[in-house]
Amino acid sequence: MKVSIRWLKEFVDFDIAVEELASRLTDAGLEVETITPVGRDLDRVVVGQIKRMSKHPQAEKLSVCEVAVGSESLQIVCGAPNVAEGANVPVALIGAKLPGGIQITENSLRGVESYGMICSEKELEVGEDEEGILILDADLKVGESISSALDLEDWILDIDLTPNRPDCLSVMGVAREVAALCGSRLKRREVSLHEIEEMAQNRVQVEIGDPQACPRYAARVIEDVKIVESPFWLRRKLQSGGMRPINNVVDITNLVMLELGHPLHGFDYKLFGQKKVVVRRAQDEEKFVTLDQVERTLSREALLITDGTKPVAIAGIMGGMESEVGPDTRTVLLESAYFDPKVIRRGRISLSISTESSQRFERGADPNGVVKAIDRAAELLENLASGKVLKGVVDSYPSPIHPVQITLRPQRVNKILSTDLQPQQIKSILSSLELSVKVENSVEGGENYDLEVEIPTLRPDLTREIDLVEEIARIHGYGNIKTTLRAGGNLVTEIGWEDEVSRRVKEFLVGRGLFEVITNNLVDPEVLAKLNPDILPVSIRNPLSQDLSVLSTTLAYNLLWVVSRNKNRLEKNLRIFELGKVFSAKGDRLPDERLHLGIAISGNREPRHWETEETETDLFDLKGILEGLFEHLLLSFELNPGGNAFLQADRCFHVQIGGEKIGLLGEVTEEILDAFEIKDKVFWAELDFEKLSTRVPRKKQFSSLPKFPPVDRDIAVVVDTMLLSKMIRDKIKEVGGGIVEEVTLFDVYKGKQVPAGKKSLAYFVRYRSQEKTLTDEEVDEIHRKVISELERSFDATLRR
Amino acid sequence: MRTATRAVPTTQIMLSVAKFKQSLKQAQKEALLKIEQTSELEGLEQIRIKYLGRKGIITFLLKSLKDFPEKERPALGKLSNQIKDQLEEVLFRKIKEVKEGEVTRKGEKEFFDYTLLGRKGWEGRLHPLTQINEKVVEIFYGMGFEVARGPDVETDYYNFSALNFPPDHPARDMQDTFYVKDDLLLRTHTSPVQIRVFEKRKPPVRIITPGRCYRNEAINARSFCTFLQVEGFYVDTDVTFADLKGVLSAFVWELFGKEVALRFRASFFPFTEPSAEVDISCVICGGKGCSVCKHRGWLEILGAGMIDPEVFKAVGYDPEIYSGYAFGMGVDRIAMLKYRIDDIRLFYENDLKFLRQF
Repeated sequence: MKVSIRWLKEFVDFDIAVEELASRLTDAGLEVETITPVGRDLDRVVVGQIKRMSKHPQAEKLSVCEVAVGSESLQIVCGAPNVAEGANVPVALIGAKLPGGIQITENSLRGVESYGMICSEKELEVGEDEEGILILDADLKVGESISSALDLEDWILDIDLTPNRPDCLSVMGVAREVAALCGSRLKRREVSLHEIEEMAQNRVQVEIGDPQACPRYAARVIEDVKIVESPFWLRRKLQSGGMRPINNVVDITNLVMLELGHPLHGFDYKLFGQKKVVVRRAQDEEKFVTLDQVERTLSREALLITDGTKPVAIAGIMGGMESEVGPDTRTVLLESAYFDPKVIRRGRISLSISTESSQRFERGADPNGVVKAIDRAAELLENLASGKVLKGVVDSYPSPIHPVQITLRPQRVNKILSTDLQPQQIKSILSSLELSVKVENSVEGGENYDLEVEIPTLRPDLTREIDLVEEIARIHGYGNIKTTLRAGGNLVTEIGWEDEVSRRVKEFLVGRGLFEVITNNLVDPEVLAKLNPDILPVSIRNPLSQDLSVLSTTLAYNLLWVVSRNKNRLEKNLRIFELGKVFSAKGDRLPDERLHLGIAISGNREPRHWETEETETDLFDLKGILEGLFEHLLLSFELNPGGNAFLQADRCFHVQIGGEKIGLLGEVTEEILDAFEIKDKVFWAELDFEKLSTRVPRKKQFSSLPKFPPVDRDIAVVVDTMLLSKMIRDKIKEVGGGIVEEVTLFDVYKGKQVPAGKKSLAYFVRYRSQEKTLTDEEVDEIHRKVISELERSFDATLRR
Repeated sequence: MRTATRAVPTTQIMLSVAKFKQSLKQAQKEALLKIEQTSELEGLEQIRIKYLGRKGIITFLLKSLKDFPEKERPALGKLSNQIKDQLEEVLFRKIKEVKEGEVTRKGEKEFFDYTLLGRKGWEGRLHPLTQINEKVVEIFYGMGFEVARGPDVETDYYNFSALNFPPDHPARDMQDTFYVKDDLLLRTHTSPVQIRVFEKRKPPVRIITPGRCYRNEAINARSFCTFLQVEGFYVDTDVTFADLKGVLSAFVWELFGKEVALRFRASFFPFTEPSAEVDISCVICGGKGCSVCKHRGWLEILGAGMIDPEVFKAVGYDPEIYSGYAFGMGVDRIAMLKYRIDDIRLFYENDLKFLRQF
């Protein structure tokens, strides 16, 4: 909402600086986004009068003018088509610098000297018109500075209004706020109309077919209207409000809308067939051409104004092309109505349009401001279009909407705001907002009485006591409410278990040299299907674009993109993880949302170093990260072959805890790498974080430190290459029983001295008893048993 | 420690020329061998003392020349001096050699290029949004707030209706929403968690709800289709607007520093009344005006207000008994301000060159 300070001052006096006013409005909820000074930098532009004109000897389109600018006359060459003898025009003198940056100097145009420039609206930045020069009113004083002659110096406030304040969609509305905030009074102007004898009701009737959608419809008829361009002051006001001038009748309806906030519409009466206004719902598939020359297909959502036979406007949204006021219009039928906000909203959504009018109606206009607005427009038509206003308003208002009464308890105000406002103060704040206050329920002593407040219908946002509490807070000033810091309440708080585990996991992974990433979980369904073909994703009905149209079912999608994008930017080594949600659809019910942990690694095993050779990372690096993580969480896992489509069949495993599958580990297939444009191998793990965190032991318990020394033994066995090393380890533990403390595989060897098809596995075994010091003999006996069991179970031979 | 050496026969009288020459040659040979074999300065000094010192063998032999017949003396003297000179020269050269040699070898052995790169391993970092999110949560945790979470995909009821958004209210214009079904949508704020908590618990409740939200907005440097929000609320029998101002002031001061000023100004949200926007004095220019604050001196960082009685009614709290406040903030926005990041999309691109900076 754009508001001119000059215009505002027509309705309210205030003597604070514009910046201060803007700041007060902003604090009170009318956020002033910008303050734009206009009409500045016009120092050497004055009112001039064209005394004589002649054709330029060399150029057909140029005129040589003699222009009076006060004490002297200047010769100025001008190319505008509308230049005319006797006209008052703005003249930029030598030395003037126009807002657009044009510097006026002595100039010669095709051989004729020119001592200044006659300007257009656009050149002075007081309007949009650049077709010709600006023709000024004849009564202006020649030689006077243009700024003061036209009252050009102004500021435009651009106010970002919240949707609950339709009453401020007008200069008058903002003035009402200013009055309350500055302790000033609104200046009211009475409309002065000179109606002719003839009754409007003889010329038009109003019939509301849907009183719920249109509770009120008022019309006036104005005859003998002359359609001309609006005067400069009116055009300027429209422009200050961001609207384009069209002709005087249309401009007047728009002016009243900007001034009072009530949208009006003018019809050409002669194109109004039945001389009868009928308000009805549109039919489905009904066609109608709006004044922007678009043929629209309507539905029952739209409300129509008809002339009894054909539609003439979409109520509250846009008029029709056929009944539009144009150059030949003589009689104007003026509409001022009140429409249900919901109807206008649905209607304009169904048509996908939004207009100045619909914006106001859908937020809520004032049903009781209808007559005031139409009278103001009639007054202007009388003055500016020499119209004759027929007697009376044809007003159909079957069930009048009355002001709401709200009971306000002052102690409630103070309780919520922690203020100490006296009822008198509260009363005066409410009165300053033009909310009329009656004191009621006076209790003895008069301390705790309730206020009965009548809310004018222009404030549809005020319906409850709490709404008035906000009004009082706003005007009293949020800054004047105290700031209290209090403890108390529930100070014993618990960190959720998942948060606790998530913190530990993130700390561990970051410590292990992984970057946490956060990605957009809206993804491309086609690519996602390659990763996770079996899960139905949640799809968005109104996505931004096709590649952001489903919620991801795996973290792999985004992490692979992060790998890809970074590799493209010459980051070869990627070690990243994300703790994020994945989703799967469940029909009409809320989808299944699971928190997952995804880890991707690719590139070198270690950072480049002068002593270390570069080696590519492999699956054991990622497995090692998981092993470290699980150990950190006091957990361990097993791998079981099997898994997912996007992981290589022989390099893909379920991660299991105690038989429960909680995730996947593997190497990404070539095909997927191609799809993501990645050239290096990528290793991937994804765990169900909820399953993981429930497995993490919540309690840690101390066990006493070993009291007796261990006995260490190494053992190397030659076994079949296709035997899983875990089998040997498990067997050693099984045979050794409780005294085997540690079994670590420290060498795997194939080659010389080992027969083909065999491999040598070397283990370090630490024996220790909790009860006594083990003797060599005792350990040797167990160790021998271990060896013979290995020989027996796995056809192993001892390597010496 | 000195090694024991044979006692020098100081009183012995040399009578035989042959024996003198033999002794001389013997000493020469011995000394040369020892010089050859010794490579420490200390050992060489001992050799010098033993052979060439004031009481050394060669010195002794020279002194004993006077006992020889005069005709023998010149030849023997010449020989003795030749040997003495030779030994002195060899010894001197060796000492010099050792001195130089020691410098080179010792340095080489112990030289250590401490400027070589250490084995630092891979670096890792938390995402900047996580860092800010954790900081925010920590501050409120310290003020007695618990953490609660809710689903990203919500029903219309929790995201709008229960929060006092009437079906056709223009406020829904402010929320450009991604819809899954008529009744399912991606939450546009974390406020639905309020309702979910209220349904389960009775006041007092003091909770913050960090989480991901979605808006159907064109993606550009200032806005992204997903973002992190932290919402907080407190309901009890006597919570006031002054408490809201207090808790947010404490939060802002802890996050941005004590020197930051706050401005509470009126605003509108369907689920709070009175509603407020909270600005802080620009952390970049200190309120003087710069491009970040668009020359206003203030930065908008929070929306807040007293929870609307309609919300309480929806969950069965009596608004005559309970009052409460709620507030919400964008973690992305705060991170952008704190780290002076000018493009929100950087958070979701995860370029390592970006992530390394935090």
